[in-house]
Amino acid sequence: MTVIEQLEKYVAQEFLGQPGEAIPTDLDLLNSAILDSLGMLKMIAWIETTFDAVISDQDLDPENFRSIGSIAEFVERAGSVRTVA
Amino acid sequence: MSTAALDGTGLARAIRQSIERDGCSTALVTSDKEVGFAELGRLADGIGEQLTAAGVTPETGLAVLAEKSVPVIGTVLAAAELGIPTLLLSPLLPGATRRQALQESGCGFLADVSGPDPITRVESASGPSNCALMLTTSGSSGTPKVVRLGAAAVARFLRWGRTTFDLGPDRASLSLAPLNFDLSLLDVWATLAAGGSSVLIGEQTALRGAEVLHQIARHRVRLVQAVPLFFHQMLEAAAGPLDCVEHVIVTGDRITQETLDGVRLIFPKALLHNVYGATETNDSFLHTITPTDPRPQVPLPIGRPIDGVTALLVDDDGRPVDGAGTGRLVVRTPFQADGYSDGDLHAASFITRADSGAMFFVTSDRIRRDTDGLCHYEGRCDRKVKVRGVLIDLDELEVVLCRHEAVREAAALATPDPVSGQRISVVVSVTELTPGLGVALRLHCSGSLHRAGVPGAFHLGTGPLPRTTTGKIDRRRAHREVADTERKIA
Repeated sequence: MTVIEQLEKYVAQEFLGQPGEAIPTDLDLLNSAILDSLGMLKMIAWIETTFDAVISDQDLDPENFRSIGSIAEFVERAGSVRTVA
Repeated sequence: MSTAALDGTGLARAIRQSIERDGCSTALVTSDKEVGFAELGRLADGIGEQLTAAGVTPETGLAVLAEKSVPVIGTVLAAAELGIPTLLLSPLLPGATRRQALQESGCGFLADVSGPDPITRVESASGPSNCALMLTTSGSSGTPKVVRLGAAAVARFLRWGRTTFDLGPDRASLSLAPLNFDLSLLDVWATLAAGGSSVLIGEQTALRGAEVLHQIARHRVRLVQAVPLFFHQMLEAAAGPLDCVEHVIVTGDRITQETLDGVRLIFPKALLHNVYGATETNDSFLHTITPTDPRPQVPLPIGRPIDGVTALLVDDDGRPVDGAGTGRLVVRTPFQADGYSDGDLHAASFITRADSGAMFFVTSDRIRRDTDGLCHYEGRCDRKVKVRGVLIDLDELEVVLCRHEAVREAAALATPDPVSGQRISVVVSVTELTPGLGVALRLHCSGSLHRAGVPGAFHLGTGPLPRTTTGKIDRRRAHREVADTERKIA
Protein backbone atom coordinates (compact mmCIF):
# COMPACT_ATOMS: atom_id res chain seq x y z
CA MET A 1 0.00 0.00 0.00
CA THR A 2 1.16 3.54 -0.67
CA VAL A 3 1.53 6.04 2.16
CA ILE A 4 -1.75 7.68 1.18
CA GLU A 5 -3.57 4.36 1.17
CA GLN A 6 -2.17 3.46 4.57
CA LEU A 7 -3.18 6.86 5.92
CA GLU A 8 -6.69 6.58 4.47
CA LYS A 9 -7.13 3.15 6.01
CA TYR A 10 -5.84 4.30 9.41
CA VAL A 11 -7.94 7.49 9.53
CA ALA A 12 -11.10 5.64 8.44
CA GLN A 13 -10.55 2.96 11.06
CA GLU A 14 -9.34 5.07 13.99
CA PHE A 15 -11.11 8.39 13.59
CA LEU A 16 -14.23 7.66 11.57
CA GLY A 17 -14.97 4.25 13.05
CA GLN A 18 -15.76 3.16 9.50
CA PRO A 19 -13.13 0.93 7.91
CA GLY A 20 -13.09 1.31 4.14
CA GLU A 21 -14.73 4.77 4.11
CA ALA A 22 -13.39 6.86 1.23
CA ILE A 23 -11.71 10.05 2.43
CA PRO A 24 -10.74 12.76 -0.07
CA THR A 25 -7.00 13.41 0.25
CA ASP A 26 -7.60 17.16 0.45
CA LEU A 27 -10.36 16.97 3.09
CA ASP A 28 -9.59 19.33 6.00
CA LEU A 29 -9.30 16.84 8.86
CA LEU A 30 -8.98 19.53 11.54
CA ASN A 31 -11.89 21.76 10.58
CA SER A 32 -14.11 18.76 9.93
CA ALA A 33 -13.42 17.59 13.51
CA ILE A 34 -12.01 14.26 12.33
CA LEU A 35 -8.69 15.06 13.97
CA ASP A 36 -8.30 17.08 17.18
CA SER A 37 -5.19 17.71 19.23
CA LEU A 38 -5.52 14.38 21.05
CA GLY A 39 -6.03 12.68 17.70
CA MET A 40 -2.88 14.39 16.41
CA LEU A 41 -0.87 12.84 19.26
CA LYS A 42 -2.32 9.43 18.44
CA MET A 43 -1.53 9.96 14.76
CA ILE A 44 2.07 10.98 15.56
CA ALA A 45 2.64 7.84 17.63
CA TRP A 46 1.25 5.74 14.76
CA ILE A 47 3.40 7.52 12.14
CA GLU A 48 6.53 7.05 14.26
CA THR A 49 5.84 3.33 14.58
CA THR A 50 4.56 2.65 11.08
CA PHE A 51 7.04 4.69 9.08
CA ASP A 52 10.11 4.67 11.36
CA ALA A 53 9.90 8.47 11.40
CA VAL A 54 11.22 10.69 14.17
CA ILE A 55 8.92 13.63 14.90
CA SER A 56 10.17 16.57 16.92
CA ASP A 57 8.15 19.24 18.74
CA GLN A 58 8.94 21.66 15.91
CA ASP A 59 7.06 19.39 13.51
CA LEU A 60 3.85 19.75 15.48
CA ASP A 61 2.52 22.39 13.15
CA PRO A 62 -1.19 21.69 12.63
CA GLU A 63 -0.64 22.45 8.94
CA ASN A 64 1.31 19.18 8.69
CA PHE A 65 -1.84 17.36 9.76
CA ARG A 66 -4.42 19.35 7.83
CA SER A 67 -5.30 16.62 5.29
CA ILE A 68 -4.29 13.13 4.26
CA GLY A 69 -2.30 14.73 1.46
CA SER A 70 -0.36 17.03 3.80
CA ILE A 71 0.27 14.20 6.27
CA ALA A 72 1.63 12.05 3.46
CA GLU A 73 3.99 14.84 2.38
CA PHE A 74 5.06 15.30 5.97
CA VAL A 75 5.68 11.55 6.43
CA GLU A 76 7.81 11.46 3.31
CA ARG A 77 9.86 14.39 4.58
CA ALA A 78 10.11 13.02 8.12
CA GLY A 79 11.62 9.65 7.51
CA SER A 80 12.11 6.53 5.52
CA VAL A 81 8.80 5.39 4.12
CA ARG A 82 7.83 1.79 4.57
CA THR A 83 5.41 0.48 1.97
CA VAL A 84 3.19 -2.33 3.12
CA ALA A 85 2.62 -5.08 0.56
CA MET B 1 -3.82 53.32 31.31
CA SER B 2 -6.04 56.06 32.62
CA THR B 3 -9.80 55.91 33.16
CA ALA B 4 -9.96 53.54 36.11
CA ALA B 5 -13.44 54.65 37.20
CA LEU B 6 -15.07 52.51 34.53
CA ASP B 7 -13.13 49.43 35.47
CA GLY B 8 -15.76 47.85 37.67
CA THR B 9 -14.05 44.48 37.86
CA GLY B 10 -10.93 46.02 39.38
CA LEU B 11 -8.83 44.07 36.89
CA ALA B 12 -7.10 46.94 35.11
CA ARG B 13 -6.70 48.83 38.40
CA ALA B 14 -5.01 45.82 40.01
CA ILE B 15 -2.67 45.49 37.06
CA ARG B 16 -1.76 49.15 37.27
CA GLN B 17 -0.84 48.59 40.91
CA SER B 18 1.44 45.76 39.85
CA ILE B 19 3.10 48.07 37.32
CA GLU B 20 3.73 50.63 40.05
CA ARG B 21 5.05 48.00 42.46
CA ASP B 22 7.38 46.25 40.03
CA GLY B 23 6.76 46.77 36.33
CA CYS B 24 9.56 44.36 35.46
CA SER B 25 7.96 41.40 37.22
CA THR B 26 6.54 38.80 34.88
CA ALA B 27 2.85 38.94 34.00
CA LEU B 28 2.64 36.46 31.13
CA VAL B 29 4.79 33.59 29.96
CA THR B 30 4.37 32.19 26.46
CA SER B 31 6.29 29.49 24.61
CA ASP B 32 8.82 32.01 23.37
CA LYS B 33 8.80 35.02 25.68
CA GLU B 34 8.03 36.55 29.05
CA VAL B 35 6.04 39.77 29.28
CA GLY B 36 6.37 42.10 32.26
CA PHE B 37 3.49 44.06 33.79
CA ALA B 38 4.82 47.36 32.41
CA GLU B 39 4.97 45.94 28.88
CA LEU B 40 1.46 44.52 29.23
CA GLY B 41 0.24 47.91 30.42
CA ARG B 42 1.81 49.69 27.45
CA LEU B 43 0.27 47.14 25.09
CA ALA B 44 -3.17 47.68 26.64
CA ASP B 45 -2.70 51.47 26.37
CA GLY B 46 -2.02 51.20 22.65
CA ILE B 47 -4.94 48.86 22.04
CA GLY B 48 -7.20 51.11 24.12
CA GLU B 49 -6.37 53.99 21.79
CA GLN B 50 -7.17 51.82 18.76
CA LEU B 51 -10.49 50.75 20.27
CA THR B 52 -11.46 54.34 20.97
CA ALA B 53 -10.40 55.46 17.49
CA ALA B 54 -12.48 52.67 15.95
CA GLY B 55 -15.55 53.83 17.88
CA VAL B 56 -15.73 50.98 20.41
CA THR B 57 -17.50 52.21 23.56
CA PRO B 58 -19.31 50.76 26.60
CA GLU B 59 -22.51 51.10 24.55
CA THR B 60 -21.23 49.15 21.52
CA GLY B 61 -19.46 46.36 23.39
CA LEU B 62 -16.64 44.25 21.95
CA ALA B 63 -16.39 40.60 20.98
CA VAL B 64 -12.86 39.20 21.08
CA LEU B 65 -11.71 36.09 19.25
CA ALA B 66 -10.02 34.59 22.25
CA GLU B 67 -6.87 32.98 20.90
CA LYS B 68 -4.61 32.49 23.89
CA SER B 69 -2.04 35.19 23.19
CA VAL B 70 -0.54 38.31 24.73
CA PRO B 71 -2.30 40.71 22.28
CA VAL B 72 -5.69 39.17 23.09
CA ILE B 73 -5.08 39.53 26.82
CA GLY B 74 -3.98 43.12 26.19
CA THR B 75 -7.23 43.71 24.28
CA VAL B 76 -9.38 42.39 27.12
CA LEU B 77 -7.49 44.53 29.62
CA ALA B 78 -7.90 47.61 27.44
CA ALA B 79 -11.63 46.94 27.17
CA ALA B 80 -11.87 46.45 30.96
CA GLU B 81 -10.13 49.77 31.50
CA LEU B 82 -12.60 51.50 29.20
CA GLY B 83 -15.60 49.79 30.81
CA ILE B 84 -16.50 47.99 27.58
CA PRO B 85 -18.60 44.81 27.93
CA THR B 86 -16.48 42.10 26.33
CA LEU B 87 -17.51 38.78 24.83
CA LEU B 88 -14.78 36.14 24.80
CA LEU B 89 -15.47 34.05 21.77
CA SER B 90 -13.92 30.67 21.05
CA PRO B 91 -11.90 30.76 17.82
CA LEU B 92 -13.02 27.16 17.27
CA LEU B 93 -16.74 27.92 17.02
CA PRO B 94 -18.13 27.08 13.58
CA GLY B 95 -18.91 30.21 11.52
CA ALA B 96 -22.70 30.04 11.84
CA THR B 97 -22.51 29.49 15.60
CA ARG B 98 -20.06 32.33 15.99
CA ARG B 99 -22.41 34.68 14.16
CA GLN B 100 -25.28 33.52 16.36
CA ALA B 101 -23.27 34.13 19.54
CA LEU B 102 -22.21 37.55 18.27
CA GLN B 103 -25.77 38.52 17.54
CA GLU B 104 -26.93 37.13 20.88
CA SER B 105 -24.34 39.24 22.72
CA GLY B 106 -25.35 42.44 20.94
CA CYS B 107 -21.68 43.41 20.51
CA GLY B 108 -21.06 46.00 17.81
CA PHE B 109 -17.38 45.22 17.15
CA LEU B 110 -15.24 42.13 16.70
CA ALA B 111 -11.54 42.07 17.59
CA ASP B 112 -9.46 39.48 15.75
CA VAL B 113 -5.88 40.36 16.57
CA SER B 114 -4.42 37.82 14.17
CA GLY B 115 -6.64 38.83 11.25
CA PRO B 116 -5.91 41.46 8.57
CA ASP B 117 -8.43 43.87 10.15
CA PRO B 118 -7.95 43.67 13.92
CA ILE B 119 -11.17 45.57 14.75
CA THR B 120 -14.23 45.26 12.53
CA ARG B 121 -17.78 46.51 12.91
CA VAL B 122 -20.55 43.92 13.33
CA GLU B 123 -23.69 44.47 11.28
CA SER B 124 -27.11 44.81 12.97
CA ALA B 125 -25.73 44.82 16.51
CA SER B 126 -28.28 45.76 19.14
CA GLY B 127 -25.79 46.75 21.85
CA PRO B 128 -24.86 44.54 24.81
CA SER B 129 -26.53 44.54 28.19
CA ASN B 130 -24.74 46.20 31.04
CA CYS B 131 -22.08 43.70 32.13
CA ALA B 132 -18.30 43.28 32.26
CA LEU B 133 -17.63 39.98 30.57
CA MET B 134 -19.62 37.59 28.43
CA LEU B 135 -18.78 33.93 28.00
CA THR B 136 -20.56 31.28 25.97
CA THR B 137 -21.47 28.06 27.71
CA SER B 138 -19.38 25.07 26.71
CA GLY B 139 -22.43 23.42 25.21
CA SER B 140 -22.66 21.73 21.88
CA SER B 141 -23.52 25.19 20.64
CA GLY B 142 -26.39 24.56 18.27
CA THR B 143 -27.95 27.38 20.28
CA PRO B 144 -25.09 29.23 21.97
CA LYS B 145 -25.94 30.71 25.33
CA VAL B 146 -24.19 33.96 26.08
CA VAL B 147 -23.62 34.25 29.82
CA ARG B 148 -23.43 37.83 31.13
CA LEU B 149 -21.06 38.39 34.07
CA GLY B 150 -21.49 41.61 36.00
CA ALA B 151 -18.47 43.62 37.13
CA ALA B 152 -19.18 43.10 40.84
CA ALA B 153 -19.47 39.33 40.43
CA VAL B 154 -16.17 39.19 38.55
CA ALA B 155 -14.52 41.39 41.19
CA ARG B 156 -15.75 39.08 43.97
CA PHE B 157 -14.39 36.06 42.12
CA LEU B 158 -10.98 37.71 41.60
CA ARG B 159 -10.77 38.38 45.36
CA TRP B 160 -11.97 34.89 46.31
CA GLY B 161 -9.47 33.25 43.94
CA ARG B 162 -6.65 35.32 45.35
CA THR B 163 -7.26 34.38 48.99
CA THR B 164 -8.32 30.77 48.46
CA PHE B 165 -5.43 29.79 46.21
CA ASP B 166 -2.71 32.12 47.55
CA LEU B 167 -2.31 34.07 44.32
CA GLY B 168 0.16 36.94 44.47
CA PRO B 169 3.34 38.56 43.16
CA ASP B 170 6.05 36.17 41.97
CA ARG B 171 3.64 33.27 42.07
CA ALA B 172 2.77 31.57 38.80
CA SER B 173 -0.43 29.85 37.70
CA LEU B 174 -0.65 27.47 34.77
CA SER B 175 -3.18 28.35 32.09
CA LEU B 176 -4.18 25.18 30.25
CA ALA B 177 -7.81 25.95 29.41
CA PRO B 178 -8.81 28.09 26.43
CA LEU B 179 -9.04 31.78 27.24
CA ASN B 180 -12.80 31.85 26.63
CA PHE B 181 -13.41 29.15 29.28
CA ASP B 182 -14.54 30.20 32.75
CA LEU B 183 -11.44 28.44 34.15
CA SER B 184 -9.36 31.31 32.79
CA LEU B 185 -11.04 33.67 35.24
CA LEU B 186 -8.80 32.07 37.87
CA ASP B 187 -5.61 31.03 36.16
CA VAL B 188 -5.29 34.13 33.97
CA TRP B 189 -7.40 37.04 35.23
CA ALA B 190 -7.39 36.46 39.02
CA THR B 191 -3.70 35.58 38.81
CA LEU B 192 -2.86 38.81 36.96
CA ALA B 193 -5.10 40.87 39.25
CA ALA B 194 -3.15 39.48 42.21
CA GLY B 195 0.16 40.49 40.62
CA GLY B 196 1.14 36.93 39.73
CA SER B 197 2.17 35.49 36.41
CA SER B 198 0.18 33.27 34.12
CA VAL B 199 2.03 30.61 32.14
CA LEU B 200 0.06 30.32 28.91
CA ILE B 201 -0.07 26.88 27.34
CA GLY B 202 -1.47 26.74 23.81
CA GLU B 203 -4.02 24.23 22.60
CA GLN B 204 -1.50 22.14 20.67
CA THR B 205 0.85 21.90 23.65
CA ALA B 206 -1.73 21.42 26.41
CA LEU B 207 -2.05 17.70 25.74
CA ARG B 208 1.70 17.11 25.56
CA GLY B 209 2.24 16.06 29.15
CA ALA B 210 6.04 16.18 29.07
CA GLU B 211 6.09 19.77 27.80
CA VAL B 212 3.46 20.88 30.32
CA LEU B 213 5.43 19.35 33.21
CA HIS B 214 8.59 21.03 31.88
CA GLN B 215 6.84 24.43 31.94
CA ILE B 216 5.54 23.80 35.48
CA ALA B 217 9.07 23.04 36.73
CA ARG B 218 10.76 25.80 34.72
CA HIS B 219 8.46 28.58 35.96
CA ARG B 220 7.91 27.12 39.44
CA VAL B 221 4.17 27.07 38.94
CA ARG B 222 2.15 27.15 42.19
CA LEU B 223 -1.36 26.60 40.83
CA VAL B 224 -2.42 23.98 38.29
CA GLN B 225 -6.08 23.85 37.31
CA ALA B 226 -7.35 21.38 34.71
CA VAL B 227 -9.97 18.86 33.71
CA PRO B 228 -8.88 15.23 34.35
CA LEU B 229 -7.83 14.64 30.72
CA PHE B 230 -4.85 16.99 31.07
CA PHE B 231 -3.71 15.36 34.32
CA HIS B 232 -3.93 11.99 32.57
CA GLN B 233 -1.59 13.27 29.86
CA MET B 234 0.86 14.65 32.46
CA LEU B 235 0.96 11.32 34.29
CA GLU B 236 1.88 9.49 31.10
CA ALA B 237 4.99 11.68 30.86
CA ALA B 238 5.85 12.19 34.54
CA ALA B 239 9.47 11.54 35.51
CA GLY B 240 9.35 12.52 39.17
CA PRO B 241 7.63 14.68 41.77
CA LEU B 242 7.27 18.43 41.35
CA ASP B 243 7.43 20.11 44.74
CA CYS B 244 6.73 23.66 43.54
CA VAL B 245 3.00 23.13 43.00
CA GLU B 246 0.93 24.14 46.03
CA HIS B 247 -2.60 23.96 44.65
CA VAL B 248 -4.02 21.45 42.19
CA ILE B 249 -7.59 22.03 41.08
CA VAL B 250 -9.49 19.21 39.43
CA THR B 251 -12.67 20.37 37.79
CA GLY B 252 -15.10 19.78 34.97
CA ASP B 253 -15.39 16.03 35.20
CA ARG B 254 -14.94 12.97 37.38
CA ILE B 255 -11.36 11.88 37.95
CA THR B 256 -10.38 8.20 37.84
CA GLN B 257 -8.67 6.53 40.81
CA GLU B 258 -5.51 5.98 38.76
CA THR B 259 -5.29 9.64 37.74
CA LEU B 260 -6.06 10.83 41.26
CA ASP B 261 -3.35 8.62 42.78
CA GLY B 262 -0.90 9.76 40.10
CA VAL B 263 -1.65 13.46 40.66
CA ARG B 264 -0.87 13.06 44.36
CA LEU B 265 2.45 11.42 43.47
CA ILE B 266 3.67 14.03 40.98
CA PHE B 267 2.45 16.99 43.06
CA PRO B 268 3.22 15.63 46.55
CA LYS B 269 3.09 18.98 48.39
CA ALA B 270 -0.08 20.31 46.79
CA LEU B 271 -3.50 20.75 48.29
CA LEU B 272 -5.82 18.94 45.91
CA HIS B 273 -9.14 20.71 45.33
CA ASN B 274 -12.13 19.13 43.66
CA VAL B 275 -14.14 22.13 42.43
CA TYR B 276 -17.72 22.03 41.19
CA GLY B 277 -19.27 24.90 39.29
CA ALA B 278 -20.90 26.02 36.06
CA THR B 279 -20.16 28.91 33.71
CA GLU B 280 -23.37 30.54 34.98
CA THR B 281 -22.38 30.42 38.66
CA ASN B 282 -18.62 29.92 38.56
CA ASP B 283 -17.13 27.87 41.42
CA SER B 284 -19.85 26.75 43.81
CA PHE B 285 -18.59 23.74 45.82
CA LEU B 286 -15.11 22.91 47.04
CA HIS B 287 -13.59 19.76 48.47
CA THR B 288 -9.95 19.93 49.55
CA ILE B 289 -7.59 17.04 50.27
CA THR B 290 -4.27 17.68 51.98
CA PRO B 291 -1.08 15.77 51.18
CA THR B 292 -1.26 13.99 54.56
CA ASP B 293 -4.88 12.87 54.21
CA PRO B 294 -5.38 9.13 53.74
CA ARG B 295 -5.74 7.92 50.14
CA PRO B 296 -9.01 9.41 48.85
CA GLN B 297 -11.38 7.15 46.95
CA VAL B 298 -13.20 8.08 43.75
CA PRO B 299 -15.67 9.43 43.00
CA LEU B 300 -14.49 12.40 45.02
CA PRO B 301 -17.20 14.37 46.81
CA ILE B 302 -17.79 17.86 45.43
CA GLY B 303 -17.60 18.98 49.03
CA ARG B 304 -19.48 21.82 50.62
CA PRO B 305 -20.80 25.15 49.33
CA ILE B 306 -18.16 27.89 49.15
CA ASP B 307 -18.68 30.82 51.57
CA GLY B 308 -21.57 32.95 50.39
CA VAL B 309 -23.10 30.16 48.27
CA THR B 310 -26.69 29.05 48.89
CA ALA B 311 -27.33 25.54 47.60
CA LEU B 312 -30.80 24.02 47.51
CA LEU B 313 -31.71 20.51 46.48
CA VAL B 314 -35.10 20.07 44.85
CA ASP B 315 -36.89 16.74 44.34
CA ASP B 316 -38.74 15.65 41.18
CA ASP B 317 -41.91 17.38 42.38
CA GLY B 318 -40.10 20.66 42.94
CA ARG B 319 -40.11 20.34 46.73
CA PRO B 320 -36.95 21.30 48.65
CA VAL B 321 -34.93 18.43 50.12
CA ASP B 322 -33.90 19.28 53.67
CA GLY B 323 -30.97 17.55 55.30
CA ALA B 324 -29.65 14.36 53.75
CA GLY B 325 -31.08 13.41 50.37
CA THR B 326 -30.75 13.72 46.59
CA GLY B 327 -32.19 16.33 44.28
CA ARG B 328 -31.57 18.74 41.44
CA LEU B 329 -29.20 21.51 42.49
CA VAL B 330 -30.57 25.05 42.52
CA VAL B 331 -27.78 27.41 43.49
CA ARG B 332 -26.85 31.01 44.04
CA THR B 333 -23.23 32.17 44.28
CA PRO B 334 -21.47 35.50 44.89
CA PHE B 335 -19.85 35.11 41.45
CA GLN B 336 -23.05 34.34 39.61
CA ALA B 337 -23.90 35.65 36.14
CA ASP B 338 -26.64 38.22 35.64
CA GLY B 339 -28.15 35.67 33.29
CA TYR B 340 -28.30 34.79 29.61
CA SER B 341 -28.64 37.35 26.85
CA ASP B 342 -31.61 35.41 25.50
CA GLY B 343 -34.68 36.21 27.59
CA ASP B 344 -36.45 32.87 27.04
CA LEU B 345 -33.38 30.85 27.91
CA HIS B 346 -32.86 33.07 30.93
CA ALA B 347 -36.38 32.51 32.21
CA ALA B 348 -35.96 28.73 31.85
CA SER B 349 -32.77 28.54 33.90
CA PHE B 350 -32.72 31.45 36.33
CA ILE B 351 -35.47 31.78 38.94
CA THR B 352 -36.16 34.45 41.50
CA ARG B 353 -37.29 33.06 44.85
CA ALA B 354 -40.35 34.75 46.24
CA ASP B 355 -39.15 34.60 49.88
CA SER B 356 -35.83 36.40 49.41
CA GLY B 357 -36.12 37.98 45.96
CA ALA B 358 -32.74 36.39 45.21
CA MET B 359 -31.94 34.93 41.79
CA PHE B 360 -30.91 31.27 41.63
CA PHE B 361 -29.54 29.16 38.80
CA VAL B 362 -31.37 25.90 38.14
CA THR B 363 -28.70 23.37 37.22
CA SER B 364 -29.31 20.06 35.47
CA ASP B 365 -27.17 18.22 38.03
CA ARG B 366 -28.37 15.73 40.62
CA ILE B 367 -26.55 16.12 43.90
CA ARG B 368 -26.63 13.88 46.98
CA ARG B 369 -26.12 15.44 50.40
CA ASP B 370 -24.84 13.32 53.32
CA THR B 371 -26.07 13.63 56.89
CA ASP B 372 -22.99 15.73 57.65
CA GLY B 373 -23.63 18.10 54.72
CA LEU B 374 -20.95 16.73 52.40
CA CYS B 375 -22.23 16.74 48.81
CA HIS B 376 -21.67 14.29 45.97
CA TYR B 377 -22.31 14.61 42.22
CA GLU B 378 -24.71 11.86 41.14
CA GLY B 379 -25.24 12.64 37.45
CA ARG B 380 -27.33 14.81 35.19
CA CYS B 381 -31.07 15.17 34.80
CA ASP B 382 -30.74 15.43 31.01
CA ARG B 383 -28.73 13.78 28.24
CA LYS B 384 -25.71 16.02 28.41
CA VAL B 385 -22.28 14.49 28.79
CA LYS B 386 -18.77 15.85 29.24
CA VAL B 387 -16.32 15.17 26.43
CA ARG B 388 -12.84 16.53 27.15
CA GLY B 389 -14.43 18.91 29.63
CA VAL B 390 -16.96 20.24 27.12
CA LEU B 391 -20.67 19.77 27.85
CA ILE B 392 -22.36 18.05 24.91
CA ASP B 393 -26.11 17.59 24.51
CA LEU B 394 -26.80 14.20 22.91
CA ASP B 395 -30.38 15.21 22.09
CA GLU B 396 -29.11 18.22 20.21
CA LEU B 397 -26.58 16.09 18.33
CA GLU B 398 -29.40 13.81 17.14
CA VAL B 399 -31.44 16.81 16.03
CA VAL B 400 -28.50 18.17 14.05
CA LEU B 401 -27.91 14.79 12.40
CA CYS B 402 -31.57 14.46 11.44
CA ARG B 403 -31.35 17.77 9.58
CA HIS B 404 -29.15 16.04 6.98
CA GLU B 405 -31.19 14.99 3.95
CA ALA B 406 -29.88 11.40 3.98
CA VAL B 407 -30.70 10.77 7.65
CA ARG B 408 -33.95 9.17 8.76
CA GLU B 409 -33.17 8.87 12.45
CA ALA B 410 -30.19 8.77 14.78
CA ALA B 411 -29.32 7.38 18.20
CA ALA B 412 -26.37 8.92 20.04
CA LEU B 413 -24.83 7.25 23.04
CA ALA B 414 -21.86 8.14 25.24
CA THR B 415 -19.65 5.56 26.88
CA PRO B 416 -17.00 6.22 29.54
CA ASP B 417 -13.53 6.79 28.14
CA PRO B 418 -10.46 6.85 30.39
CA VAL B 419 -8.88 9.71 28.44
CA SER B 420 -11.62 11.98 27.14
CA GLY B 421 -14.19 11.32 29.88
CA GLN B 422 -16.88 10.16 27.50
CA ARG B 423 -16.79 8.96 23.90
CA ILE B 424 -19.80 9.61 21.69
CA SER B 425 -20.88 7.14 19.04
CA VAL B 426 -23.97 7.32 16.90
CA VAL B 427 -26.09 4.79 15.04
CA VAL B 428 -27.70 6.41 12.02
CA SER B 429 -30.49 5.12 9.82
CA VAL B 430 -29.99 6.59 6.35
CA THR B 431 -32.06 6.55 3.17
CA GLU B 432 -29.21 5.09 1.09
CA LEU B 433 -25.63 4.03 1.83
CA THR B 434 -23.58 6.10 -0.59
CA PRO B 435 -19.77 6.40 -0.77
CA GLY B 436 -18.47 9.23 1.37
CA LEU B 437 -21.64 9.57 3.41
CA GLY B 438 -19.77 9.01 6.69
CA VAL B 439 -17.43 11.91 5.95
CA ALA B 440 -20.34 14.04 4.74
CA LEU B 441 -22.22 13.47 8.00
CA ARG B 442 -19.15 14.35 10.03
CA LEU B 443 -18.73 17.58 8.07
CA HIS B 444 -22.41 18.30 8.56
CA CYS B 445 -22.04 17.90 12.35
CA SER B 446 -18.86 19.95 12.55
CA GLY B 447 -20.69 22.82 10.83
CA SER B 448 -23.14 23.17 13.72
CA LEU B 449 -21.57 21.57 16.77
CA HIS B 450 -18.58 22.08 19.01
CA ARG B 451 -15.73 19.85 17.81
CA ALA B 452 -15.95 17.76 20.97
CA GLY B 453 -19.59 17.05 20.11
CA VAL B 454 -18.83 15.41 16.77
CA PRO B 455 -19.16 11.66 17.39
CA GLY B 456 -16.02 9.53 17.50
CA ALA B 457 -17.78 6.77 15.54
CA PHE B 458 -20.64 6.75 13.04
CA HIS B 459 -22.46 3.46 12.39
CA LEU B 460 -24.59 3.75 9.26
CA GLY B 461 -27.35 1.44 8.11
CA THR B 462 -30.54 1.60 6.04
CA GLY B 463 -32.82 -0.30 8.43
CA PRO B 464 -35.01 1.40 11.03
CA LEU B 465 -33.64 1.82 14.55
CA PRO B 466 -35.08 -0.51 17.23
CA ARG B 467 -37.93 0.85 19.37
CA THR B 468 -39.00 0.39 22.95
CA THR B 469 -42.49 -0.86 23.77
CA THR B 470 -43.58 2.77 24.09
CA GLY B 471 -42.33 3.56 20.59
CA LYS B 472 -39.24 5.52 21.53
CA ILE B 473 -35.87 4.79 19.90
CA ASP B 474 -34.11 2.14 21.97
CA ARG B 475 -30.65 3.68 21.87
CA ARG B 476 -28.90 1.06 23.96
CA ARG B 477 -30.28 -1.78 21.83
CA ALA B 478 -29.31 0.04 18.63
CA HIS B 479 -25.72 0.29 19.84
CA ARG B 480 -25.70 -3.26 21.21
CA GLU B 481 -26.85 -4.61 17.84
CA VAL B 482 -24.10 -2.70 16.03
CA ALA B 483 -21.48 -4.03 18.46
CA ASP B 484 -22.78 -7.60 18.01
CA THR B 485 -22.63 -7.27 14.22
CA GLU B 486 -19.11 -5.86 14.30
CA ARG B 487 -17.98 -8.68 16.59
CA LYS B 488 -19.33 -11.25 14.13
CA ILE B 489 -17.56 -9.55 11.20
CA ALA B 490 -14.28 -9.41 13.14
